[in-house]
Amino acid sequence: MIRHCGRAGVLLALVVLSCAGLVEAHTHLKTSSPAAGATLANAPTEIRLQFHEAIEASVSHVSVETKAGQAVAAGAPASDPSDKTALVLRLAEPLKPGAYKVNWRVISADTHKVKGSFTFQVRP
Amino acid sequence: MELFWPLLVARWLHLWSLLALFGAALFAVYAPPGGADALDKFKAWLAAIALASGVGFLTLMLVDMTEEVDSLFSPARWHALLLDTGFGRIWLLRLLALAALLLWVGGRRGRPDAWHVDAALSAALLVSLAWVGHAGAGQGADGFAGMFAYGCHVLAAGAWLGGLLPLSFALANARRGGDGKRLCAALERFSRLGMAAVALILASGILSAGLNMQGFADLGRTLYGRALLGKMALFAMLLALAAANRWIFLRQLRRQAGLGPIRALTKTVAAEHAIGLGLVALAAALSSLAPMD
Repeated sequence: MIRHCGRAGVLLALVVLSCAGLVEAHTHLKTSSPAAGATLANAPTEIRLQFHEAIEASVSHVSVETKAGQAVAAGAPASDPSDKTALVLRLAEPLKPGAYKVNWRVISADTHKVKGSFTFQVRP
Repeated sequence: MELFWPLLVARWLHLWSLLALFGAALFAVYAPPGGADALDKFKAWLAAIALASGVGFLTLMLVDMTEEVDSLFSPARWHALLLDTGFGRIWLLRLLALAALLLWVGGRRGRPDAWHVDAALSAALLVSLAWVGHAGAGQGADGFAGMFAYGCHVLAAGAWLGGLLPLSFALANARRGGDGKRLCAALERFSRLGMAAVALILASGILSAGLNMQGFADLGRTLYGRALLGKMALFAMLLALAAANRWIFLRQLRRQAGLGPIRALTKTVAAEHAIGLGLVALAAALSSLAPMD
C-alpha cells in the first residue's frame, strides 16, 4: 500500500508537470506606443512598452526593423525613471514612412522572460 | 532557446537541497544523542548541491534571457545580470552565503552543537528565495504578505520534509541495534514538530494561493492552478502517511520494542520522502509558471 502510494505520488507529479508545457509569461505587455497595428501620421522618436510588472531593463532587449528586415538604429532600452514597469527605446532618428516591426524580450523582476512583437506603420 | 525544463530541474535541486539542509540542521533538536554528528557529511553534500544548482540556475538563466550561449563568455552580460538587476544582486549574495555555508559545514569537525549556525544560514537562504520569485514581484501590502507567506511556507516545509532523511538515518541506526526508547522519543518530537509545520504550511499556502490566483476557478483553468492541485494531492498523501506513522506505527513501537514497527516506519518515511521530492518538484514548477496562465 505504501509502495503504491509513493509510486502514485511520483506519477501524479510527473503527469501534472507534463501538463506544464513551455510556459514563460509572467508579466504581460499592457500597452505600447505606438500601439500594435497603429498607422501614424507623425513618425515616432521612441518606442514605449508598458508592462504589468517591474522590468529589468539591463537584461531586456527591444529592437525595431523595417518590413524588409533591416534593423533601425536605436540606443539600448532603458527604464522610465518614474515607472519601472515601462521600457523606452529611443530611436536614433525619426522613422521614414513605411511598415515597422518591434521585437521585444523582457525580464520581469521575478526573473521570468516574456517576449513578443507587434507592427505599426508610418504614413507617407 | 527555451530552457524551461533545465531551469525547473535546477530550481528543484536548489530548493530540495536547502529544505533538506534546514531540516537536517533542526534534526539536532529532536535527534537521539549523537544522531546529529553523522549528519555533518550529509549536510556538506547538501550545501554543495545547493551551491552547484544555484550556479547552474544562474548560468541557465543568463542563456535563457539573452538567447545566446556566447553570453556565458561575456563579462558585460554577467555584470548586467549579477550587478545591474535586483534579482541578480540577491542571487550573488545568496551564492556567497552558500559558499560560506559549504566551507563552514565541510570544514568543521566535532561541532554537533553548531546546528543553530547551519539552521540560521539555510533558513536565510530559503527565505531569500522570496525576493527572486513571484512574492518579490508583488507591491505594497500584497508584496509583504506574499514574502511573509513564502518565508513561513518554506521554513515549515524544510522543518518537516527536511527532517525525513535524517529520520531515516535514525531508523537505520535503530535497526542495527540502536536504542529503541531514544528513537521513540525522537519520533514523538518529530511528529509534534510535523503537526506544527503542517498547520503553518496550510495557512501560508492558502495565503500565497489567495495572493497569486483570482479564484477557485483558476485551479482547473490555469496551468498554475493544475500544478497547485497536484501539490495539494501530494500534500494530502503526505498527511495520510504522517498520520499512519504517528497513530499506528509509533504506537506499535511504544508497545513492542521490535523490528516490525521500525521496518514499517522505515518504509513509510521512505514513501514520505519520495512524495516530498514530487511535492518540491511541483513547488519549483509553481515558481516557474505564471499564476494567470
